[in-house]
Amino acid sequence: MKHVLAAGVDWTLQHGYGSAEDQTHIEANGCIMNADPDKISERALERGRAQLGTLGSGNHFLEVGFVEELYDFEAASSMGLKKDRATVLIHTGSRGLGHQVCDDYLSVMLNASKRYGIELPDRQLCCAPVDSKEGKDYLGAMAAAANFAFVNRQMIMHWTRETFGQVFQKRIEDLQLELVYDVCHNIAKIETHEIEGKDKELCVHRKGATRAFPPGHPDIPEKYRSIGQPVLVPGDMGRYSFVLVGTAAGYAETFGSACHGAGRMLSRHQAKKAAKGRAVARELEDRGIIVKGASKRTLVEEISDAYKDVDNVVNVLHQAGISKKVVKLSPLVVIKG
Amino acid sequence: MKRFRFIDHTGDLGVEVFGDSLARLFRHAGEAFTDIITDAKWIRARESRHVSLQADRIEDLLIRWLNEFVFLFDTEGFVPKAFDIALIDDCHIKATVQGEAYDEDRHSIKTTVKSATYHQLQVVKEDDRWKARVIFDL
Repeated sequence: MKHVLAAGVDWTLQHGYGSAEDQTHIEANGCIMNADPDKISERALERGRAQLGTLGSGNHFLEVGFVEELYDFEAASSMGLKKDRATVLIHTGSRGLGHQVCDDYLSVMLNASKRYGIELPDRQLCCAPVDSKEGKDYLGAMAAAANFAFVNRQMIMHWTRETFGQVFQKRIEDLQLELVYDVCHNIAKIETHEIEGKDKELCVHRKGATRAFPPGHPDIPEKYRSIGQPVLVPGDMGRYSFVLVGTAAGYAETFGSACHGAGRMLSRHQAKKAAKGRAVARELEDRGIIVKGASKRTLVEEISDAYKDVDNVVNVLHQAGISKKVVKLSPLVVIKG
Repeated sequence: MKRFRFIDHTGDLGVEVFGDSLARLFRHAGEAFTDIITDAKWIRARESRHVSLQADRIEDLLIRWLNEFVFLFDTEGFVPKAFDIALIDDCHIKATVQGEAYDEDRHSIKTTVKSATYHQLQVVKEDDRWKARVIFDL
């Protein structure tokens, strides 16, 4: 487990999941360098062991869809996205391991907040200075959890390819199911940004947000250098999702960040009320979308009505120039963990 | 007396727990956890786990208690059913918890829990009655 946390996607490649080509299409090549597995508790490792290669519940999903609409032909072709081409979106992360890291460091940070005289609006928001021992330890643990997440997604992607291969009786190499991009959200990264004309090293915490770097940025793959980093903004399971690219304007205004999803509009309880008496899976099936949820409750809580229309959300990004729309994806099959 | 009730919280799940003693408050919180993840009536008290925890304050102890069940479920699939609390004060709890491993053929999952959080966390005593509010991250 510690090797997974230290090596990230290098571990997956050594164990036969995915390809070297995939690795070049993953943020930080699938391994955040300052990961420190020794800063991860035994409890977190145990939760990780039980869950590596699993999707998880809540809003996590695997979605098979197709390209419904093209907005930026050049960027879409760089990503290999053509109209009507089949796509797979995988949304999962560091699972229970990441949550255990959070729990473990909450008590560390609660003490640290007290020690550094930081007043907290809510105890879940405890913190410590980035360059303190607590801050550094946490960043090492968080990076290790991010590496777990890269490996987790890579394994699920590998099994997705295998499944497509079995169904279509093709070799994986002949499927042309290539990784467009794998990027984190809900993560803090040490990056250099321009502040009042001067380059400054910052800790950019993207919570409910994802990275959206502009064309020309050295941290994005060679292949996307001229178009900008692919930004994935999934919608709800019944409507659509979007692929965008980062822009120079977004880099200046949001430290190269965009939202990472539609965002909830209804609480789970309200969603349940809105879905009362409705056959959610059947409604979607009538519209050509097959949904498989681990439980009825997940499907009910994740109904389209519970989310903002991602079309509106993405148009705000596009019109504000924070990111640029490339394609719209429509779902065919949705698996909710 | 109501043991617990779910409260509305966008994105996450809140629960208010009641008890006429600290031991009952913690027992009812454990029952609420099981009710979140599955239908408790199908869970049998077949295996035991000993839980011994300490924290600096009662709120933290409650979060540790609930996160112990998150951990047992994540790692062993253990779902708690009966809570025998031998000792409890503001900073310690010792208990024997009975339940069984989740079995796909007999149980159904409602949702899994990532964590009990400190967000809007509250444990108060009003007129000899304990009340707690916990928000779970799902």
